[in-house]
Amino acid sequence: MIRTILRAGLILIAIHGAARAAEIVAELSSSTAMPGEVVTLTITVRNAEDVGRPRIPRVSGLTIRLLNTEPTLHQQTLIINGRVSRQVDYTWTCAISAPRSGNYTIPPIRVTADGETLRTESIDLVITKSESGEPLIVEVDVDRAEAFVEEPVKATLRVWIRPFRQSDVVLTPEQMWSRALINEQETRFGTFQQPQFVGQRVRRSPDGGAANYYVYESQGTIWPEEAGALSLGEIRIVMQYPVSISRDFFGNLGLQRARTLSASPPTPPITIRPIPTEGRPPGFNGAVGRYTISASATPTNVRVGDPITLTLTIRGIGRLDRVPAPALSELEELTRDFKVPNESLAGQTDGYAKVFTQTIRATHANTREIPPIPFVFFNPKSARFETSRSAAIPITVREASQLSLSQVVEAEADRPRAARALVERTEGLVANYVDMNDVLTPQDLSMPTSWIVMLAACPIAYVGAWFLQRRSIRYREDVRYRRRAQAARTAHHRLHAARSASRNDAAAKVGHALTGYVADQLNAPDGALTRDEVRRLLNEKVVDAALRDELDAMLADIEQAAYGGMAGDEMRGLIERAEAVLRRLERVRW
Amino acid sequence: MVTAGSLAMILLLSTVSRPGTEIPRTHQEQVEVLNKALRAFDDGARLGAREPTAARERYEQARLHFQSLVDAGIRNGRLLYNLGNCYMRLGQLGRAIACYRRAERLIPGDGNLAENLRFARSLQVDRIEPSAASTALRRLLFWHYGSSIRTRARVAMAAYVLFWAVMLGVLLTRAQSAAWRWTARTAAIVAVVASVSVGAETYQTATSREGVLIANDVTLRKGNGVTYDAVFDHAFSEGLEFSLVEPPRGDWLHIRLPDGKSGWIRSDQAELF
Repeated sequence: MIRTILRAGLILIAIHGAARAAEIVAELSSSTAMPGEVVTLTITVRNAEDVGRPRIPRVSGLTIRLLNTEPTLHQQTLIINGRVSRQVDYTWTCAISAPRSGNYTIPPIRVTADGETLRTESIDLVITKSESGEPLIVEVDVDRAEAFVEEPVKATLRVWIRPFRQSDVVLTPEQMWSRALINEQETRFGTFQQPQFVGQRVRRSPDGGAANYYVYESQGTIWPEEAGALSLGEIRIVMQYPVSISRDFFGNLGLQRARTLSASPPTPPITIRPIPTEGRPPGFNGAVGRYTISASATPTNVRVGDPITLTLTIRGIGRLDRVPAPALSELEELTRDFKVPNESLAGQTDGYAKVFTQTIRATHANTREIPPIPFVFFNPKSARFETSRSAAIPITVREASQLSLSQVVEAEADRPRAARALVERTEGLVANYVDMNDVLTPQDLSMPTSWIVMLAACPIAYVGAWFLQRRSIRYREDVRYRRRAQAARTAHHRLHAARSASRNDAAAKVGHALTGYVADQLNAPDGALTRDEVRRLLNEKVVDAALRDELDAMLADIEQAAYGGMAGDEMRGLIERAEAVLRRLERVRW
Repeated sequence: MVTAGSLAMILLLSTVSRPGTEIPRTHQEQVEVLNKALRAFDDGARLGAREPTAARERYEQARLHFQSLVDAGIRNGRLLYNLGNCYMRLGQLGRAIACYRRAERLIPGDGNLAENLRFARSLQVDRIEPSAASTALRRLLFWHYGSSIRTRARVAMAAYVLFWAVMLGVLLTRAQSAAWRWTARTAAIVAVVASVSVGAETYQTATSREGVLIANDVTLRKGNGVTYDAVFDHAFSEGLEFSLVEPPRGDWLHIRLPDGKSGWIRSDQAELF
């Protein structure tokens, strides 16, 4: 791009510039720098009309990049004391950096101007090593020393950046790799993605020094395409490394002064070897890796000339997207029995396999199978050519009917669609789950609560049923048990009947309720127990003496009331006393 | 040197971001990440073979999104299944199998998962046949190895309930039929055997660790170091499944192959589950 900067302070009346000789000047922005630091070389040609591009010399150890292919034009016209002078400058800018320290000399740079060759003076540049270690280092690690063409090489792009410190401020890894410091326009990562911060490490230099670095890495797999050195694309990290920073009014950090650093990795120590030409089988068409081939065909019951879709699936380790199809039309075992189109197949890659389909037609009815299809590849691990073969596919081929063209057309029109047997394929992925609740609801393998309830409920239900059944049988068959079980209820029933009985009968019913209760509990004959018998039985059962005495006194009062009569209020009191005694008797363990 | 414009740049505001790796915390964020993952996967499938590089980028995006949901602590078999599908599309067979195996523990018996795991295993380059004793045992206990733990647990529970129901029926009806007794005994045997099978697998899952190779050209060594000789004159490829003989020792794993042979590999060459 040509930029014209016109500076004219006076109105030009006439231009009578005296012709001056063309000259060239080269200036470095700094004569000293650190490894990786970028210094600017400015080349200016003056007083010339027709200027060519400078020829930048090669200097071992230095990287010199011409930043502008077209010169910047600077034109100046001056009139001083009536004398008019005109000056035109053509300027080019170069970025110069060196990865290692040393004294470098840039030889004279030649530029052709107005048919004349101009030469700059030689320029000295001193690269001195930083005492605290190089601030920016870029390197690429590879996982092996040798590889074949198309053999995957795992490589790691690693960028070491020394953390910038100023008094108590240390820039973070994110700040050191920020847009303010990394020049995104000039930075290139080659075949890698942008490196990410992986940690802080100590790096030791060959002279024994050590420095702390932020390390950023990006890993990738490279498939060499040519023999020789491994091509990584253009890798260059350009950054503004802070010299000093400052805080603004709000306390935010800002760059105050910085120097431009540029670093590229040295060539990784790996040799890419070509695929051998010796022993190369005839079917080899460039596949490198380890592969297996499988084949399927449909339909497998055809007439001569019917189309058969042959599907070849190639799986394995290698660059599947670049794997070519086997040259089927050159396969004599196949072309002997089948008509095979001579066309190159594109194939479809799906992550783990590449699938080719080709339509073939049997040429005679004696064909019994589609022969094994060989796939030849170069295995870089064994450094040998290997062949994988698919299994033969049995097919049935019948003679084709000889029909006239009109018959064929009519037959095609009238023929009902034949029912095709569906063949389920076991290959391929089943789709993702997409339901939000299916995918995001946490799951575990603990036993569901309903199962735990079921586990407990089954035996509990069985034991409960067994217990109830046992009780029912005993109740039915054991008279003593039944009397004891019903004793309290019978006694309360009798007391209830006593409330509504006549005064003469009431006392007898109350007494019957109490003696009947004791009789039921002890399986004595009902209605035959006298007061003395009750006392004796209670003595045998070691019933509480107080209760025994109270019952005896109660029975004495009942006898007196039965023979002597009792007022209504007294009778109600007697019944209530009887109920209280009965409740106490119910608590006795018989 | 710095230009005037760059002087004004504030470093703190210009940090590096990593798209797709933020961990979604809230349910709403998780739903959004899931939708992004599914869209990216579908985009990858749509681009397919037409634009393999672009498709691969989409699958990688989908993988990052699914992984961030896993990192958020969501323990879900179908999520792991989807993540495994991403790895399959990316051609990383070992990691895909690891995801499917993890998912298998959460959704045992899932048809889609079983199908994709079977397909992934069909792509294994190294196929090692189990030992004869192991093969015989597997044939004998085909019902154990051939069915999911969830199916066996259901069978055990059904047999258990049947047993008690028959027992209860016999108790209440006082039936003396041999058919009732035979049914109860059979149900009891099935319940016990299925329970033992479930318990054994649960115990094995809890106590043993398994893994899968995620790197190619893995050399099985006789000891835990590169100075040890190789066990085989063959390097294994990713996707090979193994069990762990003992807890990891440093950066090395002592593994047992399906045929019973054992050896050591570097821990970064495998993923345990």
